Amino acid sequence: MTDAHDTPAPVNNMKPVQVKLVLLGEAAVGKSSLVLRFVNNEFQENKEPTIGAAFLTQKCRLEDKSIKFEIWDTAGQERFHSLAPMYYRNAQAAVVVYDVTKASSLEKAKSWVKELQRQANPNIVIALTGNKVDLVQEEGSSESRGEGSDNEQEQEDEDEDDDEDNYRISRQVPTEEARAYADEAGLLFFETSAKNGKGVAEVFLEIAKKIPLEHILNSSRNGRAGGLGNGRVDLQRDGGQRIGGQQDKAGCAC
Amino acid sequence: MTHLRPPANVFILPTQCDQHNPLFDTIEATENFVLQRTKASKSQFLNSFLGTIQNVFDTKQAPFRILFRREVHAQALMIAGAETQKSIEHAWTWIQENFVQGLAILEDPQEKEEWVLTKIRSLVTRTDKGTDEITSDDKVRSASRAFRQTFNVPASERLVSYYSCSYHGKMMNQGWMYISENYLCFYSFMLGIETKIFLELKDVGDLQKEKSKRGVFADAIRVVMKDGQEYFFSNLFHRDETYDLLVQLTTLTMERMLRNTALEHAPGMSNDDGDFKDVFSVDVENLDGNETPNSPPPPSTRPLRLGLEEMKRDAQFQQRFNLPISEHLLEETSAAFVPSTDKGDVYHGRLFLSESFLCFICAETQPCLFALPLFTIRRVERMNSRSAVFALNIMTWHQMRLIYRINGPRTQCEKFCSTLKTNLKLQVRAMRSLKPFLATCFSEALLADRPDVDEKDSGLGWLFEFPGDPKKLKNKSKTKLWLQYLKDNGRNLTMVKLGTFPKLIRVGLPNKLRGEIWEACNGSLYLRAMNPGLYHKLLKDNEGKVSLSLEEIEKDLNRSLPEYEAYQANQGISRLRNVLSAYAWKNPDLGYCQAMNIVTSALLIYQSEEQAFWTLNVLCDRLVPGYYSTSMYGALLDQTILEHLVEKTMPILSKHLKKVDVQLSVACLPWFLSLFINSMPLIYAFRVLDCFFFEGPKVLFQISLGILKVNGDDLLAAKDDGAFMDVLKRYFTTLDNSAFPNSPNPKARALTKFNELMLVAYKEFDSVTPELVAELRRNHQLKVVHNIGSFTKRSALRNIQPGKFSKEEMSVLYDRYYNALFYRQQQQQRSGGNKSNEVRSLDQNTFLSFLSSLAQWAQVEDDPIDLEEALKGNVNGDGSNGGSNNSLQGHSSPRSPSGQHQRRDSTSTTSTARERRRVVGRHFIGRLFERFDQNHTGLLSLQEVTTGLDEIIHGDLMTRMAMFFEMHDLNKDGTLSRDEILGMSESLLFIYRYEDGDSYLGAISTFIRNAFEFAERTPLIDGFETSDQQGTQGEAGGPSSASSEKKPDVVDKGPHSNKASDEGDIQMSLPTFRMVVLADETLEHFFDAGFARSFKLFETVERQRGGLFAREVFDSLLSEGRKLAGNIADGIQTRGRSAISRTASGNSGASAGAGVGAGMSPSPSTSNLALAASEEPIGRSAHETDLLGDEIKKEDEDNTRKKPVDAALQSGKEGDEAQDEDDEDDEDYEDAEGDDLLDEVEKFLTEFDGKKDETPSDETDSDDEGDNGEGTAKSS
Repeated sequence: MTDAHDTPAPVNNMKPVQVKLVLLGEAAVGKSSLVLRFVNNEFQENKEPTIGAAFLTQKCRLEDKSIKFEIWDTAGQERFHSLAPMYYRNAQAAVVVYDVTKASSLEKAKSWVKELQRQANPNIVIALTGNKVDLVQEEGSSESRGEGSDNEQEQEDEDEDDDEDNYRISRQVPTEEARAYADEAGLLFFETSAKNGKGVAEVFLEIAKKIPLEHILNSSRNGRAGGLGNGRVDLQRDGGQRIGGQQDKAGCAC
Repeated sequence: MTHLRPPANVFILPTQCDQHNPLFDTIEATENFVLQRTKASKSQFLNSFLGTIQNVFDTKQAPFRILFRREVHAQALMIAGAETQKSIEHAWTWIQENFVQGLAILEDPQEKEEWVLTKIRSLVTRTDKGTDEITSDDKVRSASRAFRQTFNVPASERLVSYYSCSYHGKMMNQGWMYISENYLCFYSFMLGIETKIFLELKDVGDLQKEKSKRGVFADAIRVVMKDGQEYFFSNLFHRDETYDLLVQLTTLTMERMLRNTALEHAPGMSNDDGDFKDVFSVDVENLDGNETPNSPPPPSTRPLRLGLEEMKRDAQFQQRFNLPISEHLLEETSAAFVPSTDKGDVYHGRLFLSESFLCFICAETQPCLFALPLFTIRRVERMNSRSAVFALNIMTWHQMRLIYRINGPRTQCEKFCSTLKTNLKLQVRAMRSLKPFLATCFSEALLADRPDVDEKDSGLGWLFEFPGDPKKLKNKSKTKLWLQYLKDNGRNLTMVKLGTFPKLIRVGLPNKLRGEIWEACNGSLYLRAMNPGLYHKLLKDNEGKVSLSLEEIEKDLNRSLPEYEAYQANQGISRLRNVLSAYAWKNPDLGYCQAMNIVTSALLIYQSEEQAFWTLNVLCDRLVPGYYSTSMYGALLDQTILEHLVEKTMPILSKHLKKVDVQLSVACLPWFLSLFINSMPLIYAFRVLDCFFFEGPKVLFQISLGILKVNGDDLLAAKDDGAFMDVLKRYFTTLDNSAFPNSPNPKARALTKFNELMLVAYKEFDSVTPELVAELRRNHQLKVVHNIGSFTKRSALRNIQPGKFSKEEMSVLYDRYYNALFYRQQQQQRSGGNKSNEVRSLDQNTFLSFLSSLAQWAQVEDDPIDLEEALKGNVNGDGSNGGSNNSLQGHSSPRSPSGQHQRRDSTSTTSTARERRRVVGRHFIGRLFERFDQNHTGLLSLQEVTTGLDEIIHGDLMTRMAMFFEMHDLNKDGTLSRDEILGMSESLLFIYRYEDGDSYLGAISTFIRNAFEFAERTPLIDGFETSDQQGTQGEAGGPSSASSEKKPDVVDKGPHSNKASDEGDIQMSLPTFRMVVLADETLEHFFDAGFARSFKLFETVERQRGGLFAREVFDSLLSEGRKLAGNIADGIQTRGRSAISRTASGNSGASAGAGVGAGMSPSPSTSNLALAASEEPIGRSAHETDLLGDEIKKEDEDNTRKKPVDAALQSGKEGDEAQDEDDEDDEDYEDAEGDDLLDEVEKFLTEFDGKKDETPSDETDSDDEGDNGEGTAKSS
């Protein structure tokens, strides 16, 4: 399952729904690599750190609809945090990424979720994604899905694996722990490997399924056209959240 | 006898003045001294009138003053001045006690005068250390005093300047603006109406120059606070000076605030040890203070303002010539420069001299700029060819000859030369290190036709190729051109930058020279030359250490310019690691920021490790300050400026972007952060860098504007940020293409899009000058910083468990918390605190000031005793901190309480009740601190404070009672002993001390009585045995023992003290405590609501203004009749009383306090009686409770074993008596004045002390008067 384009195949024939998606998470958890896998279906061993944010797009098809993902891939280092609102404002979806080999990255992910739920668009669809499962892949399940009940006892499993990488790192975030948190917080949950492509496409597919596409179509017709300068929030005011509330008429937490 | 301390803030440096001033009446006079009072203070009308005049024409004059009559000179010297009679009399008494005897011994008038003046001067400099009152400038001194007396500022606050101006409130008020380090204040007193404005500089959001209301004169300033409040000041005669000063001070404040608000704390600090020493000699921190960290600030003898002006001038000078910040401008003169080339050019400009540089800049059309390090000079000759001209012939080490003709008067020229000579001599050592340094410069190799520099001194490009095709880049011909330039105009350190220099830069630098010319342009060359070996030392000293930044760096090493070959090999990676970690060690506050890896990896292609390290320094400190800091404020600031510039230069585009809701920074921020390195193809990014290092950050703006301009049409078609990004991304990939592919002209066809961009950037945006960028940065920075502050606040609050606090309440708590930290940090810095020790959580002292901003009762720090102690010759001025630390920790560490008491006893033979109240207060707050400090770190986080306060404020009656119980159960045995009960009552008295009404006094005495009556008793063991062993047992057993004598004993015995013998009889459990509390309505109310309500989150807590100051100001308001009669309802009453007191004290003369005390206290005898009843059995121990600590544990052991029978019986009996007495007293209480309540408290406590008050009566009385002042101050 290395081809990320299996399910959401590129389409050209109809007017796509634009979905703004933002990637958040601690530095070096593989945000950019996930995007690169999804967009270009490739993997770079040494990807330059993202400064500020990178912007990429990818179209895909869901049933009879065509979706264009506008992906904002943000910088992970803590001090870039204050820039994040600029990117997640108006976002309909967010992928919050952590590294399954690093427990602290899940904590950071949780704090991002908290921030999104309070500050971002109230209807935002959030997916929690544990990346780098290739580093902890256990024997026998390497062919299986990136998630599932058979992965439960995997973290202590240290069987020899003939991966081309000789080093293997022990898993620090058990699948079930992360899943439990995701369920509790109402998030989509995935485990992925940007390196071998496992689970990457599902992330975007499931997000596409969950997003109220019709709603976006309507609001983008009304909201975008009417969204004049006054609703604009600039960096200095560090807002973003106000806009979310305005466009969706749903009001916002703050 | 010198038991009386000299009053603070009264004595001034002796100033000549006229003894027979018609405006002053002499009150008292001795042979040598005269005490005077203004006539004005007697008549209200005259005072109001004179007050207005004084206010308009001068700063306030003190109504009371003391003069020294000189025998050698007719004019007297003013040595003290005060607002109130009380403080001047305090000073007068002090003078009588300290000077009269001494003067009697001396005979020679000259000698007398000398002696007095020396003494006064030392007094002033000692007490007013760090303030401007010791300045030699009279006017500043008196303004500083007026400022201090009018506004409640900490003693350490320094006045910078003051200006006459008007404030436009409801009406125009002419008055004075005082500007100090942290505050902007305004005071006016016009026709009886007082206007006071007190603004914190850290809350200033914007400063604007304005025209005054009528729009005629440009003499106004508008100050906008961050909450939007506006203040308009006009009639400023020195408007621009005022404005510049405010800008400078707010900038300094802002820098401190940035350090304060950052979420991460010093990420570059080593994880395993905290004692990283800053080895870097050039320290940014020293910018904001003239004091060196490790020595106490030298008593400055000139106004602070001059220091600030100098600082600003130096900063401009350093900026202009890219000099290290260790350089200060020493001499400046107009001069003409004649280069050695024989073209006969002469450049007219200005010549500057600093410690180690000789700099010249030509102001005219022919540009000429250089900064010559003195250690490159080999010979200086005076040329006497023509006598009218003063010329210097300077020879550098490579025989380059530079000739200057200095204009101006001969004396000035000579002065310049002598300074030059002195500084040249100091450079001898640096001259020696010149040779090894030159070996690292490629230019030297090139000129000497040597093959190359060492590998370690070269960039990675030497080993792995340079990016781009050298042929296409015309590398060879460029090198040739540069060779010629270097031959003619000096190389590396000695390079003179003439008109052709910028042109050579703009066409792109040759590969091998590039790194060095970058250095020479941005000044990092000087740093490298002047700090040899520092880079390697940093690496060596920190070898093996780890830090957060190091981890972050490690993550990114493989991800920096990965396409360049060197970074796929160990060599490149290790160089990159070294440079980045060395910088993180050097600047742990900044540490490492993503994007620095990209910039550094680019630098390392052309520069050696050491070169790149110093270039990184210049980058972070000067070129793009704040870009990579933890808050990234610099980057955000420049984005704001870019947006502003786009709006000004491309209004259509700007409007369009607003319309389609696209933020410029989503595209532009990475350009700035990585200096275009990973936005453009590398070869072009380096071309931009060439210009950037020479011309500074304005280039980044010009190029960015250029990009937007070139792509204007496409951008106007973009409807969302996605399309916007696409346009720009595509553009960068086409920079190589021809800009005019269809042009018939082959030359035009050869122009690439990059050439076009450079052209547009320089031609169309030449209005973007370094000055403009600097000005825009100044104008926008406050807003940006406040926004970062509010962002930080929001994210911090998001992660706090608020308990039952609302959002608004949490916001207030946050503000108060960081306010306390902000001002504490400054104090710590000043008292020699290392910057790396900056606290980001509350320590005990800061907790105290935090708490006092929420609850009035917690305001112990301003107690005058404290203040005096702080000034009492403690070298670093943080004596009060040390003292309070002791008392706060008193009960946790067994030794410190005795230290505390030793100190108390030695400093004042008469232990005043006030002082004890302070100790009790600190103990109580200390216990609160410990209760809050759940992790026992000795520091309180915002979360801990929130949780702690939540428990208090939102708990119920029961939890609060339990909390008080636990807090006073020092030995944690679940019961309160006699001492602990008394400690509790002292705490209650302390909290109640500003309370109106008197019911609580009765309540507390009932509490004590009931507590003793109902408390459980432990079985008795004969206690006299142990008492017998004690030297003090006689007194211990006797109820009326004089504790003043005993106290030292207690101290001496320390932990072995067994005096607890007669206190071990009582053990009150929590249920009993509850019962006792609930039996009394007042106490029940206190625990039910009163205590919780004492924390005020929304009302500003009225400062009990610094005790002394407050009282003085208030007294003066009354005695001078400054308030209009109808102002306060009870004003009449109080004024009436104070009038009495004044006459009384006038009669008594020597001690004002005595008279006032007598006049004030209506029924001292009855109240004394009432309390005397209960004092007997418990009195002793009451005083011992604040000895706490070491005794307690011991006591406790003792308590369980032995107990004097009769003491217990007595206590019961006395309790009953007290009950009876109390009933009678209630009536007395009713007609007692509210003001006297505090007297009662004092007495209550003093008599508890069991001392029977052998203290001199005037001492206690003067204290009473003090409290009276506080009481009345509150009622207004």
